[in-house]
Amino acid sequence: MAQKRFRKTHFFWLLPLLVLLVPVLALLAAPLFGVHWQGLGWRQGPSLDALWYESDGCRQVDVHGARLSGLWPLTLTLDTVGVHDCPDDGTPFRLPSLPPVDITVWALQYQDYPPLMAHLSQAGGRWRGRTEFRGSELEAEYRRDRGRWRFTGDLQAAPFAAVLGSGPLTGGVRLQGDGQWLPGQRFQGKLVALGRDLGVSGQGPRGDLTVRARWHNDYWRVRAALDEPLALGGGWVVSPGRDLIAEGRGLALSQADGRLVVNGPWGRAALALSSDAERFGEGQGRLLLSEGWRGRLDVDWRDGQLRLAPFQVSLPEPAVTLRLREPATLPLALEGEAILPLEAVYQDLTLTTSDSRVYWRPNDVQWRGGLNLTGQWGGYRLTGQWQGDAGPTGVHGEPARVRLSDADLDVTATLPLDGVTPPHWPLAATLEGRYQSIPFRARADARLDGDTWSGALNGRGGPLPELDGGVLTLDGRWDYADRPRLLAGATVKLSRAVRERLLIRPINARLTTPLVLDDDGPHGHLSLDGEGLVAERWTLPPVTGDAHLDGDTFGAELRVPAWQTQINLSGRARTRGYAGTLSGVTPLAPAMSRGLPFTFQGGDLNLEGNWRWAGSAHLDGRLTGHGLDLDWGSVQARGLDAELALGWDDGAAALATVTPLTLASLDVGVPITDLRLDLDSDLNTWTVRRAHARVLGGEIRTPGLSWPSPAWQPVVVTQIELSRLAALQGEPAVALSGRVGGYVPLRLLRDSIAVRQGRLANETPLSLSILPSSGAQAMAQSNRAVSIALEALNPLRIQQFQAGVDMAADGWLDAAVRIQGVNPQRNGLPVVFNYTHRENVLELLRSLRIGDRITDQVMTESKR
Amino acid sequence: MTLIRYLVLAAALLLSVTAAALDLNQAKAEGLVGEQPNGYLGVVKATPAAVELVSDINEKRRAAYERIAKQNGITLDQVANLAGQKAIEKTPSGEYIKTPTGQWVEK
Repeated sequence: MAQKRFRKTHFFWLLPLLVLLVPVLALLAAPLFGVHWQGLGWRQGPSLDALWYESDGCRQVDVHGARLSGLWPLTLTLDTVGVHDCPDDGTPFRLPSLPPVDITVWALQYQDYPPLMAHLSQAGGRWRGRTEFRGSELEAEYRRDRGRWRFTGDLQAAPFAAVLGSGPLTGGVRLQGDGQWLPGQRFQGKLVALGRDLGVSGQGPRGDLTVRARWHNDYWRVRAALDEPLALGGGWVVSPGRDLIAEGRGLALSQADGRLVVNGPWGRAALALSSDAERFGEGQGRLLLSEGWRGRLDVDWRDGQLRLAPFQVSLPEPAVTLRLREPATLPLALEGEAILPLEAVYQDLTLTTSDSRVYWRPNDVQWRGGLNLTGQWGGYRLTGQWQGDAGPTGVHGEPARVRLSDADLDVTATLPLDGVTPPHWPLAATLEGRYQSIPFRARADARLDGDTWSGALNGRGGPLPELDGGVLTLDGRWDYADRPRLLAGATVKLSRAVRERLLIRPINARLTTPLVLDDDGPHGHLSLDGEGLVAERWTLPPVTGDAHLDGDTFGAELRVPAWQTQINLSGRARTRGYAGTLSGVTPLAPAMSRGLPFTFQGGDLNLEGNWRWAGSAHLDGRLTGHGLDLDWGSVQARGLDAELALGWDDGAAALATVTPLTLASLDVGVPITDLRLDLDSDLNTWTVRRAHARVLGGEIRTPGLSWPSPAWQPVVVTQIELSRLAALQGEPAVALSGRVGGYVPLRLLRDSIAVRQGRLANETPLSLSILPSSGAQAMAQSNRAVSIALEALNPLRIQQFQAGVDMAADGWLDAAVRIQGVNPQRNGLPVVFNYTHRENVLELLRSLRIGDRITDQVMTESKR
Repeated sequence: MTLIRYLVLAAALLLSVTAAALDLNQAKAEGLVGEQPNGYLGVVKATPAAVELVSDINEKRRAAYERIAKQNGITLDQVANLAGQKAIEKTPSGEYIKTPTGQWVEK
């Protein structure tokens, strides 16, 4: 008896210990049943950081933040519960027998859908559940003993917009259902959904939708009725018609009747379904597309198969026609396959499938077959092939090849598709071909992140025609969200190249902002760096600049730092070609003169103009020069001011002075000052008009001179002071006074100059006296006759002076001088002096001072 | 005085002859460059090196022609043309020269 009391006493004492041991043992044994846990702790009760259930390597349920706050009923609070998609192992789901439980889940999430708040309780086999989501709630009850269930709920449409991927929704749905669920035996019930004021906010009408469904195991029947037109979003509106009634078993459709009309941006779609009353499980349907898209799809179902007749559907925009070439049969089952010989036509392009099959099973659908592309697009011939399969897990198969060609362009793109899988769909394509005679090769890769495609683009083309060694390379990154962009940092480089005898040093263009391709053209900014040009007789130093593209307009600012030159260019696309403005300013320096027959010593040039390109170049501008100083060897021009109108029209040049060109001084051995003239030229013929200058106290003028020209063109000189002429002597030999004048007819040919019957005469009495000099003494001592002549001439008052000059184009000069006067120191001795001279001026020039020795020195110097 | 000036110039030029002269001789021997009547070197077969060499030498020739033109009271082109005739006369056979009509021929 005492022993019994002892056992009872200790049994009750051990009871709490057992209660504590049970959950501990349960936790330790849980992994054996696929339940795993971690992070055992205490948070106002025992808690677990994480708990999950795995079956066949798939984690079906994830629980975070589990806390036990009561033992009777067993009260659990779960922070989050995630339910994932795992393959069904075929075991029927049953609710377990449990002691009373009360579970609160703050965030219950099924796959990627938004989380709900849920509360679940059970007592005596009666389960109750309640979920809430942004104003919507659903309550359900299940009695385990009889298998009866029922639920009610009110759903607001607005929060489901994001789930459905639609626009903002309005209205609500009341749900009510009941039935019986005996796991593994029976699942039957009925459901009524009453939608009120359903629609898309601000888009069309709202309607009431009623859906009634009932089922018994795999048999089901649905009836849907729409009372008012209902906006579906995106401009689509479904109109009420005959109630839609469908009945079937599993996926097998046995009966369907109804009529549905949808109107939207693409047109009108009318769906009509009808079952054969005589033959259960047979029926037919028709989808008529009109008012935009056009086509007709006929289907019928029989013996658990859906037959689709050949059809042709045309979409309005883009203008694509989709064809089913042969009838297709699709089994009405959860798993199956069908042959779908489809063909799509866009403009003159046709995409044809071969061995086209669709496979499906629960949670999966795959297409397998070949694609063949042929036709014309944008003036190009386009062909392509691909063989492989595609589905939710990606695309697999041989590389796709597309070839685009015309007379100038021939490019083949190769796109390996193995490994092209979601979510990033990584692609890498190579392009290889030629443009005219320019071979090129490029590589582009892409991947999808969210809604944006992005990748890198690298290409190399060349050598360019007529550019020996010129290779173009492109390196950059791009993206495409709502429009394609080449990102900042992308570069295009032209390597060193030779065009004819011009060396083009490397040129580099770099994007400083993304280059965006819009409907009106590209937009973006870029920097330009050119290392310059080298020609036989001139160089262009490095050029830097910036350019901007704004759709159909563009502009550039270019600088030549070594010359302090700046050029601005702007333009706009026109219906035919381009047009814009051009301006530039630069100081002039000797370094800019390497290719010219003269050397700039100073001054400034300014250019303003308008240009146009329509297959050929046109330019109208104004070139202004201020304070220009030029050297033609020993000939020096100083203080040149000019304002020229420039024109270039398809290779024809024109320039003309706007205001008279003025030159402060021109030193050709004889100083000429205050030169003023008008000038015009087409770069072949240069014409000077109304030229006038001061020279030796007199003036020189001409009404016009053209070069080259076979005409004899007079130059008039007047009032030339002989005293100033005499002052030019290095060692004065004679003293002169008085003024002379006359005219010199010139013939200015391209490579020669000739004078015919030039005449000079005195305009005032002249005087001549011979100064003592070594030259005069030598002449006097040469012979007696010369000595007598010199004595007679010294001094001389000249009443009449006449000189005639002729010079042939080959350089032979003939001069004849007649002097008539008196010698006042010889009692007015009358003197008549005739002198003739003949010499080849060009030969004289050749032998003057440029001998072999000097040219050898020049050649030696330039070998450095 | 003029003679002294030329002698000084000649001495300076001779001292400045460097290995680049060999490059010019080599370029002439290979038919890449040749002499022209206008006194400047021309490119016969355009390569980057030939254009660079010709441009460099012509810059120096022009500077020398300009000095001589100023010293002699004539124009740059007159000096250059005279020098061109002399250079063509002195070109050894086998090297290229440009004819007055603009054709490159092997002398």
